Amino acid sequence: MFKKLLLVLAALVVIVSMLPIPVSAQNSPWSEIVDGNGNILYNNLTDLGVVQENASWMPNVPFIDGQATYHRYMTPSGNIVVMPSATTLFFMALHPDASGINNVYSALGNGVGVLETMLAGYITPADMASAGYTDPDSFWQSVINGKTNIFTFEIMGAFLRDLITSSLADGNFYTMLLLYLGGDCSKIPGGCPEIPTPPPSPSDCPTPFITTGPIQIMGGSGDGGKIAPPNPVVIGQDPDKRGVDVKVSVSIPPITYHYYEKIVHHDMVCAEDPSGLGSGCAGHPNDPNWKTITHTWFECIGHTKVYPDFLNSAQVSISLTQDSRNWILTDLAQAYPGASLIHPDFSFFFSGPGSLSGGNSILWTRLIPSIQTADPGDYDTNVFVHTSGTPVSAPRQAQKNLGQFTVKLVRVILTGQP
Amino acid sequence: MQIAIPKNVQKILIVLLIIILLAIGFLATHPLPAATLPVPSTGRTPDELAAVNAVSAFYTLNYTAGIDLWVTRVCAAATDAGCRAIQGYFAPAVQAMMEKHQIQTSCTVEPIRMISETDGNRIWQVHVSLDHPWSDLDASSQNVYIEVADVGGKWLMNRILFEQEVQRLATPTH
Repeated sequence: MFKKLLLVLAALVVIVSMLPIPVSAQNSPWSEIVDGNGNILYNNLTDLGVVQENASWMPNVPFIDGQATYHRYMTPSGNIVVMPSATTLFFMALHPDASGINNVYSALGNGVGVLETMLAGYITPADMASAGYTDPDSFWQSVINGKTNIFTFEIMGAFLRDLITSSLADGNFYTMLLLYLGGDCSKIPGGCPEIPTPPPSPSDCPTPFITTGPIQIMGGSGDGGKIAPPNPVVIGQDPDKRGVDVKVSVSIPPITYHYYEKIVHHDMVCAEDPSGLGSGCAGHPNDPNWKTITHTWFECIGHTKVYPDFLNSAQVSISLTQDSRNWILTDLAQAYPGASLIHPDFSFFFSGPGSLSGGNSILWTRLIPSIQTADPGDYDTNVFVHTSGTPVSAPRQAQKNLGQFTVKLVRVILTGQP
Repeated sequence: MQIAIPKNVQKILIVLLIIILLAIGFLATHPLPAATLPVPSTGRTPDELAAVNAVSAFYTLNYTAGIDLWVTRVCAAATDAGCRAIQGYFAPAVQAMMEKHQIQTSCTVEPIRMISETDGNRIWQVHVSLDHPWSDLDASSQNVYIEVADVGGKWLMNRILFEQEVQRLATPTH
């Protein structure tokens, strides 16, 4: 089935390349997007990135809304090219009005063409006949019009499984180009794109820039940031409820701002005077063939300023691994009926700002004592850090997995009398 | 012919009659549980347990933990293809929902019944109750349909079925 879908999508790509695009016409908007052979001229396009948005016409699972995914590009003349993901394309075709596919300037046919192509090999003429249609176009039109519910066909389960597991495997299997002309961007899927600002025009001095180092996140001496005890056991078996101590340290390097001071110099220099009416200059005093002129020039003097980037918040998440959860709910539950997860997740929030150390770095250390681990198994420790930012830089984020520590369960084995 | 019943036997019969009447009265006011109770938590089949575990992982959401941790947990209960669907299709949607509503919830999952079995894949209907539902939900509990597959003797999630295709399970096929 996977191969079948790939073949179908590959066929669709071929169809895209066979679009009746008037690329030969110099005034066609397509001429800056594809060449005469149907190849996409990526070098000619500005990549606006992938955008996702909630869409009522996309399929959803309980509690979670469906999302449409598009990759968008801008042409040199300001038009927008939209490439929906294969899944998004399918449901756009199924709901052409709601999805805005009908607002497009030019695209691959219409919803009928897309559905016919993508579902070739899944929905057969016999299926159509069972729904009372002999003409495929009429059948697909009735699907789009909502008169025929395509999801009542049993094969749709396999089709959707293939669609979301294979077409999105590489995240870039786009099958269609939709062209939206510049102007009203409200109709473009994903809304008005954020157009990259052009680089500033060259100035006399280099543009200011910042440098910094990576944020360092460290744990205690043991795995998972643990520092004690050496061999923790679940608190249910420990009369002292000792728990686990975890230590986290964060080092935030400063932000160094590099900027340039422009110094204007006005030097008096000698220059020849072809008129012969010059008043001379320092090197040629009273010589009418020379004159004194002002030569203006600039000098860029580099400066640096160092800003500490304080800690805004830190979060330490400690979670029982999925393998340990499965072990408790299966193997352990067989040995100890009723065994279940008691408290598998811990999350600790801290606020900054940390302390200022040498070189304007920020240091922050926290000991989380006696974490009451009630479930046996391996615990995964993750640390998330947010900085406050500086006057010259935005807040930064960092994340690190400190590894895993193990909390043991003492199991009693009864043996017979000797 | 006359049948003489001893007085002590008469007393026993009267007591029995009273007990029977009391029992009938109790049952009239306290009916027996319906036969469609959820499957008890013990004695679950491997495919059923896989469905429960996968759905539990899917609806255990914590916006502070990040989407990568969610993907890791759900993929641990999923087939390779199921994990690709989680990474490529569901993760962006779940991340957007978590961040929009700052979701932190776990859930209770009760198996209801196996709906179908095709090509070694089984579709289970389970009932999910969110512990901390977010604000714009219509209901905090819903039925969820999940497809599980036997991969080398281990049952894993293929995917959670879309609501749109669940109609197929309730309507006759062509």
